[in-house]
Parts: sequence; structure tokens; C-alpha cells
Amino acid sequence: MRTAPLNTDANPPRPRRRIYRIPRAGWTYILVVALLGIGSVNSQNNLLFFIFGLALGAILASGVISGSMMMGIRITRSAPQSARVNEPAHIRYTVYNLNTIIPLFAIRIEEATLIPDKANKHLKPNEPQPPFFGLFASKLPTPIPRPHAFLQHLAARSHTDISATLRPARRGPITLNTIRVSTTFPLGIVEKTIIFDVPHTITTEPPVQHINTRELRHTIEKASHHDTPANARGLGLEFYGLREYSPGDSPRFISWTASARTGRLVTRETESDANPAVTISLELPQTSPALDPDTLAQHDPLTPIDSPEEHAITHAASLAAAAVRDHRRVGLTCNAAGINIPPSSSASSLRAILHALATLDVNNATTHHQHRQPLTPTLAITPANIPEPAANA
Amino acid sequence: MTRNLYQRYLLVSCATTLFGMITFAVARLNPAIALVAVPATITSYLLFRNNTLSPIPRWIINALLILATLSTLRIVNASPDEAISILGEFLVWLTVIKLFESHTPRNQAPALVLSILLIVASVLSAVTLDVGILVIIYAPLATAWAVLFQLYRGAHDRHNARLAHTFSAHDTERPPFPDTLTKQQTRHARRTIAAGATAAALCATVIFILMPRNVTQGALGQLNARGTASTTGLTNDSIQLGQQTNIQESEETVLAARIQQLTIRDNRIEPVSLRAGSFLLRAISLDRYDPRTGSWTRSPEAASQALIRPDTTRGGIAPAETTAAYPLTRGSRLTADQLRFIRQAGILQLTINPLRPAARDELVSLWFPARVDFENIRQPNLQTNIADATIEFATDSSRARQSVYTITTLQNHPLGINNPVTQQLPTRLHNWYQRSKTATNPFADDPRFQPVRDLADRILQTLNLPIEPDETFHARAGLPQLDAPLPPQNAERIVNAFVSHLERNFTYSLQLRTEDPDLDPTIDFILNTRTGHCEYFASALAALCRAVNIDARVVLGYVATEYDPVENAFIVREKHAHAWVEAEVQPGVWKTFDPSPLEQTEPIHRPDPSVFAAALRWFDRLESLWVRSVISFDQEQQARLFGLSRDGTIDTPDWLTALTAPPDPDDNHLLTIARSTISVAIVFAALAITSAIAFIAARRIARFRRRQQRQRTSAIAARNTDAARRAYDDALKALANAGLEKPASLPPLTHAKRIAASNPNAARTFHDIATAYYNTRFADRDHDTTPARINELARTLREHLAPTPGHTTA
Repeated sequence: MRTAPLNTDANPPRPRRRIYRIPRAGWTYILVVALLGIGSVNSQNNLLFFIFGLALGAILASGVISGSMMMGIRITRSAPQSARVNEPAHIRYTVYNLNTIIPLFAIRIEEATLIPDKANKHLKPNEPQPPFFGLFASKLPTPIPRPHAFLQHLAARSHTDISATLRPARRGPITLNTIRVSTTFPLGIVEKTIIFDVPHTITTEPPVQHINTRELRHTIEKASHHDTPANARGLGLEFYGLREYSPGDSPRFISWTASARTGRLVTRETESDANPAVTISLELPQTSPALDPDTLAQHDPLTPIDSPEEHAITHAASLAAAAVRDHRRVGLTCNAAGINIPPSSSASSLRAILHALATLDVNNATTHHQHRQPLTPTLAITPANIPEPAANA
Repeated sequence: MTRNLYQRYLLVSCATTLFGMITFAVARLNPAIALVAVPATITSYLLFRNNTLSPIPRWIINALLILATLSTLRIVNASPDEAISILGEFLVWLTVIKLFESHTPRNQAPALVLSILLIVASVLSAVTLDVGILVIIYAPLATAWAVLFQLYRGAHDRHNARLAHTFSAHDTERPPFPDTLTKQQTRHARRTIAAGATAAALCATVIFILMPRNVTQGALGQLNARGTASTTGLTNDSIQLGQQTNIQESEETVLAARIQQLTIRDNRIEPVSLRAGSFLLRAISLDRYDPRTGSWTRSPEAASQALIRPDTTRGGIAPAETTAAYPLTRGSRLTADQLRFIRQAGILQLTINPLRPAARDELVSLWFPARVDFENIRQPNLQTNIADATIEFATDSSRARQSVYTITTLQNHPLGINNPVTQQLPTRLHNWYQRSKTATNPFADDPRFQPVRDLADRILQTLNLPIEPDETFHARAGLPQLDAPLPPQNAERIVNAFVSHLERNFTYSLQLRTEDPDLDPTIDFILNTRTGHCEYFASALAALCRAVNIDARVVLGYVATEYDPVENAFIVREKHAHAWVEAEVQPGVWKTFDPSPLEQTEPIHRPDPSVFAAALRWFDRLESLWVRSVISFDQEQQARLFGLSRDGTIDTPDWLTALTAPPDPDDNHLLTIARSTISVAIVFAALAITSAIAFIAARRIARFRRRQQRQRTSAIAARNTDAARRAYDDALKALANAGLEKPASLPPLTHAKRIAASNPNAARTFHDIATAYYNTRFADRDHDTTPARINELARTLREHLAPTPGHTTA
């Protein structure tokens, strides 16, 4: 982390509101101070009075220090437009300390939409708790860290960049509206929070699982066995077939083995070198069973969704990526969501497919206009026909 | 320079934890706690310093915690009176166990709370100066711990997040905690801690002054106070003989006693301080011996003879019969009768400054207490007992026990035959006196005490001292003829004979033993052991006196021998606690006799002349200051500090008066300072605050000026650098045009040397230009090389390179 003098040209936004909260440690401290006060008054012990005064003074000093510290904080965010499930995405924050004298210490920066709060308790990580409250556990489980950035120190009149790592667990858009900057410095008695409105959306693409070429071709062949034509002859490298030699054929293409076997000259033909095309047809049921709105999967981007629809989408994304990697043109159709992306082998086409899959709303799948049946081989993917390894990969 | 945040945090947390436990050990006077705490803390620090050791499994930690809790509950159930001590030790054990827990933030927060609770337990146990100093040191340490904890917790979470994103749960090789504290961060953190601790201390001082005193004291009950166990000291209002213990001398200070003799000068009372000698400070007298238990106690009959008459107009309290006899207002002109009385009475004034909150209700005095004046208590609830010459508080008043008071004492007891007030004694006192003469005397009547009577007879026979009853005793005492044994005529000589015998034939020792547990302890002392401390000697002398019908009582108190010239007072410690005897040698005249061997007790009571003793006395002075300004701070001092009087008017505060009043030439300067402790504290605080403000202002001004200078210098440097760069570029072009082009591989100064042969002037000028460029561009110096100067150099170079007539450049 490098710090730099304050850039006066920067115009970071001002905080929208301030929140004061007493954490559990603060309540404990207040309880101890209250007992101290009662004990000192009851015993009239002057030294206890002094300690009680120290404890109260600590609260006062803590409030003044942290309050004046938080007055000068400004922050901006730089986040990627897209991310992928289970892959880290880095959100960069630039923190400015406008204070003249007071440095910043122990600043925690979080995205408000990614923090579980009291109204949304189910966002807590679903961890198995050890029996007997962990009293006899050899080691307590470490909670899964929520994406956050921690600024240990920032001198007055300077700024610095820090980053937080976001690892989405489900596809879809992640709306980052507000940045939450908080601290319990210096004594942990009161948590002071300031809220900045900095809207941004990250589109989370579905995970892309590895599908090897043989498996891909097998899948395509199986899909094209009845209703799709074979590839044309051409000058590619893949074997197409054998035919009788005709004058003008290049001697390089004579299959001497077959010629020796048949007793006449036989020419080996190859497939056309043009990119073969494939269209992935994602067939979601028109009345997809809606997810329970009370489940965590509806809101929390850090909690995975385990449903057949999601597995189908993941498989479609994996097939699309594997097809492009195999130099095939790939397209995507989903009548339920009104998606029709023509086949193409470009990277931008794959991004379009992944983006379409990322933003596909399975709960609102309805009957759209039936697109014309593509001429290319069509891989029909439904929630029911996902290969088992792919779903669990 | 950077240091690992974890290591620094661990160091501070271990130091704070250790300080908490040491404070409790000091408060409880229990070195065993320190013996456990120090090695445990050091071991924990060394083990966890590199953050590589696996901590003790959590289930073992929890099992130990449960064991400690159960053990504590069992002990509390067995002895509920020692709740603070037991709970404090429980906290110590919890702290020690948690030292070996993993140092995660989740575990560290309770450790900090435990440490704070340990400090509270220490303060509830003792409020001595050493505890106060440790608490004052502890406060910034705990603040530093809390501050570093906030940094450590955040860094710990960030580190865990990194590990979670980078490593799987099965990876065993994980990187250590990487976060460091730079020099700047350390400096800023230190300033923050200092600012927080200072603000908290100021707030604590204000709250300390403003908190209500004596409002709800004891409303929720009182926790136990610390006992002194088997150390010397005046702890009980009775004497229990027959115990086998090894008593240790305690150096703990109890009080400072200033003793003054009232003399007459120009018909006025003039006090003269007494600075040398050995003074017996009597606290309580014990007149009843219980043969069953071997203990001396104070009889209820004697205790009930209290006389009290508050004299608020004079600011003091005095027995009714003595108040009218003589006024003790300093400086007032006295009548001839009053002067005669004062000369006869031999008045001594004893000013007592308690150096610790006393656990007793008795005030100490020299002789018969005639008048008591408190410094800051207007209407104390006192009982002056004219029967046995003791003075005590009628009700519990810990505040009064911590107040400075002056007792004016008379050498002659009011019951004495030569005292003019004897005739004014109330009837009930006469009745008590009469009853005391007819009461049973076990030492004279009980066959169990025949050895005592035999010893008394043997001593008197040896010295040829006959026992002749004083037939006129009752008549001289104003009593009717009683059917009671009469004391001997030569009572004082007889008592002196007993004292001499005890001094010569018995040994003083603090190691007590018994030869025959079935015997009465006093008889065992007289017949068998012949070894004991002052209580045995006093008990034996009182028994011998009573065996020959001389009324005697055991008196408990202190011996004041250690004079401190700075305090202008005698420092009294626990080891100066003493027991002696008062015997009635004439009707109503009680004389003091000390049977303990002087040559053996004197080394104990003598002030220690060593260097350490001098240091200890300085500590005592500090402790005195501490007690007066902190421990004894009460409602009266609150009112005086703010200049408020009881009637609602506003007086000049004492500290302001002390600051503005001219110095008293007759008074000891140091004592004046010591008396106005609060004013001294305020002066120091004002000086400290002013110095701090001045220091901060000076630093800020200096920093501002440095910043201004830096900005100015930077601007000048930038301007000069631009000019130098332009001049250098122009110079290179001019040299190229003149056929002296600088090869790219050649440094400028070397090129200047090369062209010096062909054009020395141009070479010198180019050398100056290049040097100026170097200095402004890279070295950030040579700020005197102004653009004008550089332009001048460039113009000079062009002139030197200008083609001369008849010469063409190549």
C-alpha cells in the first residue's frame, strides 16, 4: 500500500449519513464502567472513583478521536464491470484523508449490499456449528470473510489505494450502491460508520467449467446425429472420407494404405477448414418453479444457488466456452428468456453469451416469440439433461 | 524501520496483562501471584512471539477454565468473607490460562476485560500508593493495548481473507501474519495513545473531583477489607495470647504524628515541636482479662463511661469538665489562673495525619485527651471516655478516620487528686470508679493464678519491699469505706520492681511458642517460656500488679520514634505497634510502665539509618501526599476546592488562598507545601498544560514554517531547473553548431575538459552550465543559480563560441 499527498484535483463524494452503533465489546465495556460507577459510589473508594473517571474519560476520548478522524474521510471506488462466479474480482478503493492533523487508523471499508444486517440475518454464512457451542472443539471454525478492505493507517492530507476481493457465489448482477466506511478505533467502544453513495453494478457471469474437446465433440455429434447435416469436404486437417482417385488429384492426398488394400488408387479427403457452427438452446420450463423468496439465494451474491436451472445455465456457459476454444462458432437461444445470439467464434460473441446467461432471470421465464430453428447443430440443454459430472464439477 | 504488528501487539498485551497481575499481587501482598504471573507471561510471549506455535487446544483451555471456576466456587462457599481475594485470584488464573490461548481477536477481547477487572479487584483490596502508581502506569498500557487491538483485529481479518482467497483449508503451509507498523505509523499511533490517555486522565481528574461523596456509601453492602495476617500492627481491639506464630515486622506506614509542647510566652500559649524522643501513642486500653481464653479486652463498664460535648463554636470537641478550665485558642491572652493550670497540666498537642485509611475506631493520643480538633470535619461524632482516657468514634465514619486531627492531652488524669476538675466529676463516674474497686480480681483471688502471686511475693521479698495497704486510698479518692482489698502504699516502687524483674529475666521475641497448652498463657509465659513480645510482657506486668491489688490495665498503641525532618513529624509504621501498662499508683493517677526490655525492643522501633531507609522515607512522603490528596479527598475538600461553605456563601478557595498568601516565616515551608497538596497539584497541572500547549504550538509553528520553506524551495528549484535545462540544451546546440558536438556517450563535464584545449573559455562556461544543470536537476541544491545567472552563462557561452573574423567553423 502506497500513500501519496492529497490530490486537490480529486473531488470525491461527501458522505450521505453517519451511523453510530455500540458493538458487543462496547456493551461489555459500558457494563463494566457502570459496575465501576456503582461500586465506587457504594464504597466511596477514591481510587475507584479515579478509575471510574478514567473509564468514562476513555469513552469521551474515544468518541472525540474517532469522530474527528471520520470527519475527513472521502472515498471513491473502481470496480470491474463483470466478474465470474467463484473467481476473485478486485474492487479498488481510493481513500482520502482530508484532515489537517489527525491520521486515520483501522478503517474498514465494505459494500453495504454485501453485509448481512439484522433485517437480513439469513445472509450469514451457512456454516455447521460445532456441538456444545464449540466448548470442546479443538478449533473453532473461521467465518468466511465478507469482502472488505482494511486501511491500517493513512496520514493526514494524503490518499491511498486499497482493494477488496469479491468472490461471487452466484451469477447475476451485483448492485453496489453504497460504500460503508466504519471504525471502532481507538478503543472499540463505539462503531462509527459513514455511508457514501457510489452506485455501480457488477455483472456476475456463470461459472465456466472445463469440458475437453473430445467430450464436446461427442456431445455435438450426439446432438447432430439425426437432424443436422455433416460437415462439407474441404481443405482442413480433419479426416472426411475416401474416394477413388481421379486425375488432377494431388499425389499428396493419395492414401497408399487404402490403395494397397483395394488394388487401385484411393484419395483421402478432409473436412472443410471453415469454423463449424453450433447453437446452444437453453430450454427452461415456461413455469419455472420460483425460488422461495425467503431463501438466501434471492439476495446474497455470496451464497451459491443449487437448482437445476442454475446447473443448466452453468453447463451452457461451459459448452459455449469450450466450443469457442475449439474454434467453433457458437450461438445461444433461449425462448423462455427471449435470447437469440447467432453463432460466432469471436470473443465478443462469447462475452455476449455469458452476459446473456448472467442476466437471465429464471423466475420470470415466459413464452417469447419462437425463433426460427437454426440450421446449425443445436445442443438442447434442459435442467433435466445435465450430465452428472458437469453439474458437480 | 518497521516492526511486525503482531509482535508489537503481543508485547503490549503481555506487558499489560503482567501489570494487572502484579498490581493485584501488590494489593494483596501476595508474592505467590507474582511468582506465577511473571514466568507465565514471559513464557507465553516467547512461545507465541513468532506466531508459529500451535496454541493449546481449545477444549483443554475450556476444561481448565471449568476447573478453575469450580475450584473458586468451592473456596467461595467455604469462606465467603474473602470474596474479593478469591475472585481476584480466580481472575489471575483465568488470565494465566488465556495467556496460552491462541491470540485471535476473539480471545483477546476477554483477556483485556479480565485485566481491567483485575485492576478493579486490586483497588478494592488496597488503595496504597504503590497500587495507585501501578494503576496510573496501567492506564496508558491498557489504552495502548486497546488501540493496537483495533489495528491487529482489522489486519487479522484482512490476513484471513487473503488466506481464504488464496489457500485452501487443507494447505498446511500458510504465510505468517505480514502486517507491519512503519515508523510513521508508530509515531502517529503513539501520539494518538498519548492524546487519548491525557484526555482520559483529565476527564478522570474532573470526575474524581465532582463525584458525590458520602451519598450512598454502603448502600449495597461492603466487601471485605484486607487483613494483615501475622504481621506486626495494631489490628484488633483486644489481645489474644497463647498463639504459636512467627510474626513479621511490617514497614507499612500508619500515620504521621506531630507532637508539640504548649508553653507560655508573654502570657500566650506557644507550641514548640518536639523532634526527638520516644512517645507512646495510646489508642485503646484493655482492663478485663479472661482466664478461659487468655485474652485482654475492654470491659463494657469502662467503655460506657463516655462523656461528650461538641464545642462547635471553638471548632473542636472537648470533655465538658475540661473545656471551661482552660481555653486553648492560640494567641489569646490568658488569665493568671489559666496560666497556672496550663503549667500544671503539662499540655501536649498531638497532630495525627493518617497515612492510610484506618480500620479502627479509636483515635490515638498521648495522655488524657482533653480536646480534639479536626482539620476538615465540623461536627465529628466522637466519644471521649474519661474513665480510661480513650477517644473513639461513636459511629462508623471512615471519612473521619482519614482526616487530620489534633488531640490536646493532659499529663494528669482528671481523676487525679491534684487535678482541680476532679471535684466536678459527675456522679455516675464516681459510681463506676467505686464499682471498679469492688470488682472481682482473678489474679488476686483465683487459685489458678497462684504462680503469679508467688512470683510477685518472691520479687518483693528479694527487694525487701513490704506490701502495706494504703488505708487512706479510698478517702483520698472521695470514695466511702469499701469492703475491698486496698492497694499498697508504695505502689509505684512495687510496679517498678516488677518492671525491672521482667526486663532482666525475660526475653523479647516475635517467635511465639507455648510450653504447656493447658496452662494460662500468662502463667505459661511467667513460668515456662519466659519469651514473648510486648503483649506478653504487658499482660504479665498487669497480672503482677493486680496480684498485689494495684489496679492496672494493658494499653495498645504505637511507639513514635522515627522523626522525619521534612514532614516535621514522627512517622509511625505497623512495626511500631506496642503494648504497655498503666497502673493506678495514686487514687485516680494512672502512670505508664513499659515492661518490655528496652535494649531488645529499641532496635525494632529505632529508625533504620540505611540508604534504603532514606528512600523508604521518601516513599512514605509520597504516600502521605497520595493519601491526603487522593484517598482522603472528601466532601469537605470538594467544597473547599470550589470555595463553597456550608451556608451557601462562596469563600475564597483554599488553594487560591494558599497561592496568594505570603509565606509564613514561622512555618516550615515544606510542610506548607505538603498541606496545600491540591494547590501544588493544580500548579503542576497548570504548568503541564501550559507547557504542553506551548510545546504543541511551537511544533506546529515550526512545522508550518518548514512546510512553507519546503514549498518555496521547491518552487525555486523547479524554476531554476527549467532555466538550467533550457540553458544546457542551448549550450549543446551551440557547441554542435561550433563543431564541438558532445558525443552521446560522453558525460558533459568530461566533454568540457576535452574542448578546453581548443576553446578554454567556452569549456569553462559549458562546465558551469552543466554543473548548474546537474545541481538543480539531480541534487536539489545550488538554489542560488538563478535563471538570470544561467542566462548570463548561456550568453557568455554564445559569445565564446561566436566565430572570430578569419575563422570558420568546421
